[in-house]
Amino acid sequence: MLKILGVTTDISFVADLTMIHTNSGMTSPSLASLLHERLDPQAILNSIVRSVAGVIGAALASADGRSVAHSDHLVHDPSRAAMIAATMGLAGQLIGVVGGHQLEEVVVRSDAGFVIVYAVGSEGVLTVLARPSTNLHHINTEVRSRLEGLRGVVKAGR
Amino acid sequence: MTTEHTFKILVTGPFAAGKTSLIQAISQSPVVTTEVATSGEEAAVKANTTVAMDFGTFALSPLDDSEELVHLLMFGTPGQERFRFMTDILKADVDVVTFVVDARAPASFQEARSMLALVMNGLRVPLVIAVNRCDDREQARQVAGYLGAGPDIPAIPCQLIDPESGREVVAEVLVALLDADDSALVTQGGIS
Repeated sequence: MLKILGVTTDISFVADLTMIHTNSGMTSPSLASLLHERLDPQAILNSIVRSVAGVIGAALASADGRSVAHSDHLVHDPSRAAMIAATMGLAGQLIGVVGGHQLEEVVVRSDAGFVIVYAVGSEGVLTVLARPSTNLHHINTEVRSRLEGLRGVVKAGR
Repeated sequence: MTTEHTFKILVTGPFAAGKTSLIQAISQSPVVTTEVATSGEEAAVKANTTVAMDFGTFALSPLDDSEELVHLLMFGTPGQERFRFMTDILKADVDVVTFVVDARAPASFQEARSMLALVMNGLRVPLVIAVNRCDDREQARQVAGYLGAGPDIPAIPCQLIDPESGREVVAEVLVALLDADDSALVTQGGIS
């Protein structure tokens, strides 16, 4: 395992990329952005915002309520990370009502839009803010494909 | 005829003071906790931390000559400043405040002092200070003094890893509730 930019990554992954770079003779922009996105939490969060129409922001925090990263244009607010941690803490107890053991997400719907919070392993939480008309299924799909990457960020930050 | 009294206790205090331990020591029902892994530099102090609330209950069995049943509902808060909004939510309609402080963490006293003043602000209920990791009444009194509590505020030395010690805190809470019932002169917990 190799540590780059504070994120632990699989060295074989980096080796693959190096090989492709060597073969092509120049840096492919898409490949560079792929690597960047895979390592930088803010890039992952920005890509969530970009990928679904109606999503206005995304933020990553530790399960105990410390902000880790947030997408561009989202105002940093430490008390929001704490509120989200408290919400997930209570929800983690509430799932016992239906016999659940693993909290996956909490959806808060209001007249002004959604606050959706995803468990990122047991140590992180991802919050997505979206307008009322947003397709939640679409958000779910985009988020789930990035959870593993975010889990790596949270683990590396500990 | 049996009369039932239900009292709500707020258990609060700084990070890693022993709030969850107190509720776990006393509760007769399974404690509802919201503990998660601690991150950052706080992880060096302890592995888990409360992020929303703890909840536990305690029922006092009626004495022979009394027909009164007393139920205590204990609500514990997180300790870190960023969770202060949870304290504001949980302090609504509280009947007594138990403030937990770690006698062996003097670095937390200053924060504890402002925290105590904040939590008692707007409350007209009795206050009991549980001085954790302390065996000496004099020392407990001194710590309570650092927090701005006057000599009329009970300061209980306790070892909250020990359930027996937790019950002494409950006994003091019950006395404080009885006194408050007797007296109409309860001010804001006597905080200076």
